[in-house]
Amino acid sequence: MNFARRLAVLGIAFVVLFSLLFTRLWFVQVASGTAYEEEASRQQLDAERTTAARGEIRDSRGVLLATSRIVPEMIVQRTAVTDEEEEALIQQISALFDLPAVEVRAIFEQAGPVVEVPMGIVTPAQMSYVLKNSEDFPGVLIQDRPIRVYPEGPLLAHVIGHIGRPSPEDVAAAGPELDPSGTIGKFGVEKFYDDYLQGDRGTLLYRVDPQGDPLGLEEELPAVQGDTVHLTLDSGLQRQVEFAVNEAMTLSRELEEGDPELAAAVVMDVTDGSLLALYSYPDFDPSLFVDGVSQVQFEELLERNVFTNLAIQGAYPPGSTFKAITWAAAINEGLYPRGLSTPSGTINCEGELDLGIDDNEGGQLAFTDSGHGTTDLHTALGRSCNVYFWQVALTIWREYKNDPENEDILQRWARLLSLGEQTGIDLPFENSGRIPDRQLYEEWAESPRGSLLLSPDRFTEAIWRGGDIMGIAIGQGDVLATPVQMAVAFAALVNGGNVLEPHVVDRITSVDGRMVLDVGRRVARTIEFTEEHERFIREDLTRVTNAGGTAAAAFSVMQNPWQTGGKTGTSERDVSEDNTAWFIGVTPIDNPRYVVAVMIVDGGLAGRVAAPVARNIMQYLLPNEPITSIRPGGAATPAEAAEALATDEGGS
Amino acid sequence: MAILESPNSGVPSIVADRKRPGPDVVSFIVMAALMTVGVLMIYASTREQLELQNLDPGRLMQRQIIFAVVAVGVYVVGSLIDYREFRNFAAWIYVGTLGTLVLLISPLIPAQENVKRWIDLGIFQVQPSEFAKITMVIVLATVLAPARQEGMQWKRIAQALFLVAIPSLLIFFQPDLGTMLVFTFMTFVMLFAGGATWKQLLALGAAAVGAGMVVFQRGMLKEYQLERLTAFYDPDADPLGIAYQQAQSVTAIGSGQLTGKGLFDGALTNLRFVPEQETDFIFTAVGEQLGFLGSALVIAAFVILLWRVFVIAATARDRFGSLMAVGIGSMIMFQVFVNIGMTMKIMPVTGLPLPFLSYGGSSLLTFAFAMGLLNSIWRRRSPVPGETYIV
Repeated sequence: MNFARRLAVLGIAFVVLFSLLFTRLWFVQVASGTAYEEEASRQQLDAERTTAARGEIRDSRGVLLATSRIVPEMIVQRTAVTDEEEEALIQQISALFDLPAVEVRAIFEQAGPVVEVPMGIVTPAQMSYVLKNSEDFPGVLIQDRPIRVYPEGPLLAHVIGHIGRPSPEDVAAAGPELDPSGTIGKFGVEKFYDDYLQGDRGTLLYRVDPQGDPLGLEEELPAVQGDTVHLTLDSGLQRQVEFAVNEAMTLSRELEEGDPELAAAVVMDVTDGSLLALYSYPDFDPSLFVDGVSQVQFEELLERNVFTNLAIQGAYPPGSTFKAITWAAAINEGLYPRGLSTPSGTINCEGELDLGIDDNEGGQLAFTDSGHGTTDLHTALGRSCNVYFWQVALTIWREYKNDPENEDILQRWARLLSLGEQTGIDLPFENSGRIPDRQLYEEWAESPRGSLLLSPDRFTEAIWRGGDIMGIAIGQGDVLATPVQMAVAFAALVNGGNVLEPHVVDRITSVDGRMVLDVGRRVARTIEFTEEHERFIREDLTRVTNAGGTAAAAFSVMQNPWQTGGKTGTSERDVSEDNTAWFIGVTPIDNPRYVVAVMIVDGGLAGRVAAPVARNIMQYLLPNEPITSIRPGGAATPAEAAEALATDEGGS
Repeated sequence: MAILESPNSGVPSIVADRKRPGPDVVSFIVMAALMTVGVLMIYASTREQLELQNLDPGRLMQRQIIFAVVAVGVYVVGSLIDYREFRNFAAWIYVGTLGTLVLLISPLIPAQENVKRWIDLGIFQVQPSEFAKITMVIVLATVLAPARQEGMQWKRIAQALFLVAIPSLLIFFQPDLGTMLVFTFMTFVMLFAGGATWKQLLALGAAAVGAGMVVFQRGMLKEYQLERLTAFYDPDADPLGIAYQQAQSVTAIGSGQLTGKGLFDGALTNLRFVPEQETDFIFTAVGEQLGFLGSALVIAAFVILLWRVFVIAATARDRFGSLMAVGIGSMIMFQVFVNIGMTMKIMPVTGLPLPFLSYGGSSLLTFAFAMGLLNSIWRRRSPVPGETYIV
């Protein structure tokens, strides 16, 4: 091979190599240039997300219940601080916050190698000190941070709920828009309407150098405060309800009726399902959660059940209040005691009921009650006559025991009226209560806990009995209901059959006032009541609160107790010696507007403990009804109580 | 080397009326154009950073302009010297180069960032391994040129390899892997051009691979040397940030797209998103600012330059000139391909500057002198009256 040939070989190699360069250049710049261009832009920009202030929560009159306030917070950019500087900085911060250096160091260590360590909110004095002596505070920034403020403290706590740090599940569910170091609604409206309240986080787009240090602001998308939630609740009424329930619990102890530790009360508009008051005792101050609550503190509160909204989560036997549902089933289906065919047909109540064996098939043989004498459906409701409603249950048993399709006719009425299922209230963790039937018992029997839930003879003999229907008829046995469920059921009984979905939120508006969500009246279903039902329901409920009725004493102090109606309920629980006192009332009865449901767990007799609460609340609701105290010598309103307290202190 | 008759000897000469051919204008223009582009790119990639440090933003550019002016002087000197004279001084040049390289790795010269590659002369630093490339071109051409008459025996190859091995080893200890690879490539190409058989080349290739494996397996490399080497084939390990550097590099080039961001409008260039951009990664500044059209033009300029090298090698008056041209050409080709290939992620990061464009005096002067030598070979392709050498 001569030299010229060798040069030619080298020339070919050269052409090949440089063709490769051109090809690659084409590929990088032209074929995939767009992708690299995007990557280049991405590298030059750094987005910092800003926190949006949570939306406000206001009551129906506009009273501010929850809002966000911008406060200065100290942030330490740990990466900008050398180890030696950090030691000096810890001393400075320790002196500034009057906090032991050990604790400051612990905050640093807990935060780990994160970029920004929040050191907490600073006062104006602390802030100006830090800014004046900035050389002593390397890497320290003062940033604006929105924090949650609850101006009314514990008022309406269970409706408002509280916020907290998002759990890993929350973060996974919410996606990238949720700031993992931010807050999220954990309970109540804060949780249920979190999407609205969160607002839209803002973005600060910086041009950065290769080290990621900002060179200048490229674009700012301001954060948008969350929407304003307008509740249906009235904080004035709420204060009265809270006061009344607390008075009743004291009353219960004074009368030695019981030793209540749990209670709930609601007031609902029977025309549209909006809740005007919702109280659950014990309550809490949502402000506790604003800056994070300690584990110990949280567990202590948890033990006291403060995070249970008993109005929707507290499912207890409703007792005789359920007789109103049995009343409706009887009058609408024509199910009267044996031998009767009209609501006015009477039985003679001797205080006990003797059952033929075939009627009960091995169950309880004798049921006792105080004797009510001659009783029809109307007086049975007014006097809360067990015997009458037991006989209604027996009629159902006799008529349908061989008709599996219809043997649960009473339960069907209960379910129609929203018992045993969720009402659909706009609050989280609603309990659906329980309406037992053959199917439930059969499920229990097959479950591992069957022997605990059912007595042994049910496994050997009949699993479902006439006695079970008798229990349901008076709201005992395995019937469980929440105060809100009872309120919805009573509302439907008196409002023409509209089973409403109760709600605590009326509407949601954006910060600039646009309507975002109009909750409004939602009807789950409408029941066609018979003409007899419509004729008698208000009248019969009125019998309860007037002469001869079980709540007559509590309502007798009213100027016009005929404006009210309702039903007492004193129910028993296996786990407690004390009775649970219920009262579900409606007022004004001629043109029903409000349903008031009161439940005082372990409170004692309904007429003595629960009915006075409902009466006191109704007095507040009705114009021209002076408010009278629940307890002899007690105050009638929270304002009076406060005044009495002030006078007391002045005198001592 | 035969001494020639003088033009005054009275013997009529066919060359009596000939004048020396003119310089290779094309390669000079291309070289000057590349140096100009280099100066602009250096300014683009350093001005903002210098400004941030409150320094004159044109500082590095001005230094490069001074180097470029000196480089043109070096080019002229290289053109004027009769390339054939180097044969006489090859031994001295070689010994001088070795001496400098030994001095460099001796304790007399302080290391910079773990590397002993520069001699600090106060106002500027010298990188002797750059100049050593020219030395090796001269030495190898001197040793291999006689093969035209005497044949490429193993003895001659051994001699050539021995002469390359010593400076290679000294450079290995700096360490400067890039220059070592230039030496290796250059040696193979010059051996091939000088007449080595395929068999000989294959045997050499096999030996080189074997030697490399022994070096690796015996663990003869220091930790950081090993890291530099492993980064070639295992970018994930990335102990030196090489993968990051290369990713940034290809991003910058790619973002230039077809027409580029415009001179001084390259965001990544302005903000120094590519480490070492003004030196080894200068091509990324071209890519981002001038786009495919500008980048292709730069590569095309190198193609023209190498085309001239081939022409000069083919038309050289003697084998020594041809081999020198081939050596210089292989050096340029290798560095251009490896450097641009590295910035586009088809070659490993080896630390080789891009001829004429990268910031740095040593490289610029070396390549300018090499271009001067090429011009000298071109101008002396045919005899003229009064020449000392005929062969």
